[in-house]
Amino acid sequence: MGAADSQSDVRRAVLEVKSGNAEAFGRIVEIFQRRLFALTLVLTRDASAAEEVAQDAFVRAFTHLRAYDERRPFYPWLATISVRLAQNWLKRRARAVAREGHHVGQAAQSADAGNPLAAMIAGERGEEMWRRVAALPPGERAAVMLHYRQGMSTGEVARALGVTGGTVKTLLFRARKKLRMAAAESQPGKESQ
Amino acid sequence: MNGDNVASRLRRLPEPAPPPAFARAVMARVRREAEEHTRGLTSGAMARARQRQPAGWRDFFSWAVALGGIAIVFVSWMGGRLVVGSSADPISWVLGTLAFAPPPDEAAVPGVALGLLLFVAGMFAPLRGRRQM
Repeated sequence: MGAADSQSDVRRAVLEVKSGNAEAFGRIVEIFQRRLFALTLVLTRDASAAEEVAQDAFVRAFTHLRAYDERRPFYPWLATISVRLAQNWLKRRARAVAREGHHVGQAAQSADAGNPLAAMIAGERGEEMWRRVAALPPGERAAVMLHYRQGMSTGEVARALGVTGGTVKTLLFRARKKLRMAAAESQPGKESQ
Repeated sequence: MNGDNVASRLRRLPEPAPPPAFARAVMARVRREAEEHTRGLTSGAMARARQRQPAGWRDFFSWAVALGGIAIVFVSWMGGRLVVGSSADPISWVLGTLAFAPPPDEAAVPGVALGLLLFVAGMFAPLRGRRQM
């Protein structure tokens, strides 16, 4: 299905939901579940948290659908909701980790080494790249995912992250630099800067 | 790996699939939200219907009570004053034969008090109705 078909499908589903047919929201879930789950997985780096945050994002989108303007693309609006929820989850986890001081090392280890992204991707090349993306700081990770992988403009990314367009460009620049350096370190003979 | 290469590799990254029951779980929650929303709307509408009374009937009742109170005051007052041959008739009163209306007899006082009470109750009845809403 092309992007235009998908957009008109989404618009039709949104109008049906707004006129009282909650079941029509299933179509929206079907279209966006994979993209949204991938985003929350990158943001949280935790498979069960990703599932919970993505579910919450869909439910919140349903309950606040009146606030959505059908003239704008749906996914950036949905992504904004899920970024906020993921940020809240990360803050709660950081507070919990800080409170339970002796678990800090464990949590950090599982976040980096576990890398559910890499575990869920088949194929060596995808796995390695996901691992590098997952190692980025949260802001860069989110910017890279939303702009490069999910095709949102820098303006839409800025709105989703609650920052300016200039900040998004800076995050993307830094992320690209780190990914380049990581690739060069892993394959010193083959990659060039 | 140059910048363009990074960007193009990122664009081609495969995305992990969500758990198989994900969509079902989301829709179960969506249905619950929809049901709760409907229940909330229905109970709100029923509450508003209970509070609503025909405005015409309420206004008529208020006016009837207020005017009834005035009528009782007048009748009690005049009943205390109008005896056979008495000069305290309404015409003289209006024309100024009596500068001030004399107080009514003691027997008429309860009637005057009741009438005043009903008059005040009738005047404030619309406010009471609005507070309940």
